[in-house]
Amino acid sequence: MAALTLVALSALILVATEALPGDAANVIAGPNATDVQREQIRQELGLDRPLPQRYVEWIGGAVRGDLGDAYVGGAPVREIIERRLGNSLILAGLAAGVLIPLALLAGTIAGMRAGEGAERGISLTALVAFSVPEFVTGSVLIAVFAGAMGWFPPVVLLPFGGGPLDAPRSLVLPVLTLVIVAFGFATRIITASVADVTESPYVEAARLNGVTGWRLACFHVLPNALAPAMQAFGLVVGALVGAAVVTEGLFNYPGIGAALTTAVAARDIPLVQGISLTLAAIALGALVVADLLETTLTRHLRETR
Amino acid sequence: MMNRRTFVSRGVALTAAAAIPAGLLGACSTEDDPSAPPDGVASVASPTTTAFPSPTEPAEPTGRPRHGGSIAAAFLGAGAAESLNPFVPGPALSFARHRAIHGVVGNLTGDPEDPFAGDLVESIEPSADLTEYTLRVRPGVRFTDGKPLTARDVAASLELAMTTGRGSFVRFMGEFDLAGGRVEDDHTLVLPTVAPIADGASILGIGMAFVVQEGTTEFTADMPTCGPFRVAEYVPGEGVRVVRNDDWWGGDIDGTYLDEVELRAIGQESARVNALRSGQVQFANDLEPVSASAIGPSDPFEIEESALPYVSGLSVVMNMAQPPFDDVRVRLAFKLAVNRQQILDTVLHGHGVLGNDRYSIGFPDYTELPQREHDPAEARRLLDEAGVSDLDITLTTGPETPGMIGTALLVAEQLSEIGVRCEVEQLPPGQLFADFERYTNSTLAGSYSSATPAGLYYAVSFTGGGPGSFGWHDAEVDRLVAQARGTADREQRQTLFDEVATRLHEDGNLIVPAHRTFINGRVPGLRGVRDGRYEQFPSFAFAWLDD
Repeated sequence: MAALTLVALSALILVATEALPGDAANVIAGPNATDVQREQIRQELGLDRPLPQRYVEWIGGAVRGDLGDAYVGGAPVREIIERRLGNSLILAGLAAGVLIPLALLAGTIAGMRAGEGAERGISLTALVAFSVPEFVTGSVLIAVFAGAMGWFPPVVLLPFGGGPLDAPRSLVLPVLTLVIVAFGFATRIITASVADVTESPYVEAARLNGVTGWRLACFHVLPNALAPAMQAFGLVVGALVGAAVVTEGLFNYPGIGAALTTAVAARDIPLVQGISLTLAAIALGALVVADLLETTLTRHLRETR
Repeated sequence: MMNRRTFVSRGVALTAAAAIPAGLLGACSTEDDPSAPPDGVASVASPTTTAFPSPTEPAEPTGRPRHGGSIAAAFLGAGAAESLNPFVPGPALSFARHRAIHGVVGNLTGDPEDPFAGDLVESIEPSADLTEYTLRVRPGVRFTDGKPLTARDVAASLELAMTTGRGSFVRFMGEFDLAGGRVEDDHTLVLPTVAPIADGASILGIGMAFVVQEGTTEFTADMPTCGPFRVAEYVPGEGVRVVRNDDWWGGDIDGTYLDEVELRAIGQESARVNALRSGQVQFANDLEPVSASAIGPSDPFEIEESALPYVSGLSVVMNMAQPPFDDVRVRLAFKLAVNRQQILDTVLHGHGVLGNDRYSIGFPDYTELPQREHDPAEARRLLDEAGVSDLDITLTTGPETPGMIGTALLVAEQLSEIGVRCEVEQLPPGQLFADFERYTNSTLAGSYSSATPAGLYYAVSFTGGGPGSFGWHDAEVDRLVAQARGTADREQRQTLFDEVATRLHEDGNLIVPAHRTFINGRVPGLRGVRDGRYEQFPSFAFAWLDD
């Protein structure tokens, strides 16, 4: 099913990139080129061939792991993606590593104390975090923690030959931005799920047996609330990789989101298609993993009972 | 041959523009005094400074240049995919990298008497009938692999530019018959022209004529080069670390002073400013006018602006192929409706120079004409006379260079004063020129131009009435431009260009309210950047750090 979805997505991606106004030949040729020069570049790039033919060639190559060459510079798209994807996965992984425990904690507290001050405070925080645009959140963090405090660098400049983990201080603000942006969504899902489970008969039975506080939360509520929340986590993790477009641009982080932005502006279609397909595959993969975890967790809970 | 001091004292700025950058400094020679401090002030003064009131003068250099130290500099980068081919126009980082590691044929000086400043080619001499140009290649230059530079390398590089290059330079070079070129000896190359042209040296000196080794088939980070620096580390899309090329031919004279330079890709302008402010970089390229205006005394950096002719004209183009702009009275009405001073003050915050409805300001072939005034009453009268009233129009533009959107919005507001309802259609970054057909079919388009001599600009943009001319097609003006470019006598040539300029100013379809300067930020201790003559894409060949 996931494979079929990916094939359908690949067709959608091709149609979407085809629908982008203008083409790479114009970008490469520049505004002063002659029509003959534009046409020559168009032919060199293969843009004069029919769309179905280009799709068959592209998808055939993609199946073999060959995503073609970038129009700009001519480097293999696969190499570019490999270089950038690792950076984005590190950023998303760090953000998820902070976000998931934080959202679980906040969501559990809010869900178990529905109607109380703690719930209202957490819900309000989640709502604000969810509502403020990523760009604003990141800019405020830069102004406060890089500008006013001077604690962290405002821009990510990786050492030559090094990776993101070689510049840990510069990762703090982009990770924090992603965490804040995703916190609202993840916390609200967990809160709803926990609140639902809290009212269930088996939690009530546990309460009547004298189980309260963190023991009730950890051993009775959370395990039952986690299963339905898995899909939400799947969505969040998938989105953290793809949704880093704004954050990566803001902090100059050399990830796949920033690469997608510049590829779109340059109408570098093979690169746009390759990155889009990769992001779609990651989002799908995250949902598949979430599905598996949910199934496993549900079965385990049933067996335990 | 002009030496460095002469060059500096002439006050010419060898910088460049987005599509047509000048190359490395060509003014170094063995006649230079190595102990002379860089004359930053003199180097920015243009022969046409009277027409250029606003740029900030650089701080007076203190002390003497010293060797050593390293800096990081931030430029707009290409993204994850980028080309190492110096003949393919790219973003600022690509040009800065090419300029740091490659030599060029030469640069434009802006001086009408001596427009060409040699770099790897010491001099360019046209034949009396303007059908051939003789290039004298500088002796004693070596590539980083030790091989000496010869005329064959220069010839091969020009061929490579034509076969692998893109953009305006390829069109300009089409005026030479490269196939008919002759290498007469190791240091002499003769290039015939397709038709007699007087501005052949301007084409070769426009800065895209980078020189690579004969036999080059691919462009890599470790290819042999002959610029002031050589590549130490390169990460595509992120930056390059270059170290001093101790064998650089100019190194015998002045420098290179810096041990190494990191050229970093930082896409967003706000991020470049933040990096400069936080000390992550010591130089940031191409700042927005609003950022430059917001810099206060507490900020740890200063700004430097480019000088004429290296400014970018912000424009609004009227499509003469469509009504109502097929009527010269409507075109003139729109020109008179624009308050140029207001645009310069509010959009560019004063970081620019007033426009007079033509590009190429500051180049020797630019004609000074009486400044067009803001006259909405006359504009309304002209519209009435043309029978045009109740006009709704769309101005299509995009954020391709700082100030474009702001200019379009303000022009639209100013047009409302003469009863024109103008809606601004803002396209996303990159789309304006990517969707070329839509752009050239716009009724009214917001655009910009890089710094290009007037004759060359007209030749590639207007001659023959191509799509980029927006309906301008005047065979008589085409003939005048061709005649001017084929005239050896400078005064006669300028007389012809003056006639062309007058025709374009009166009948043309271009509104150029202002020209923006290129604004760079640098820490106070970083000196001599401007001695590289190239403020838009500095090479840092003569940059040095205070103690």
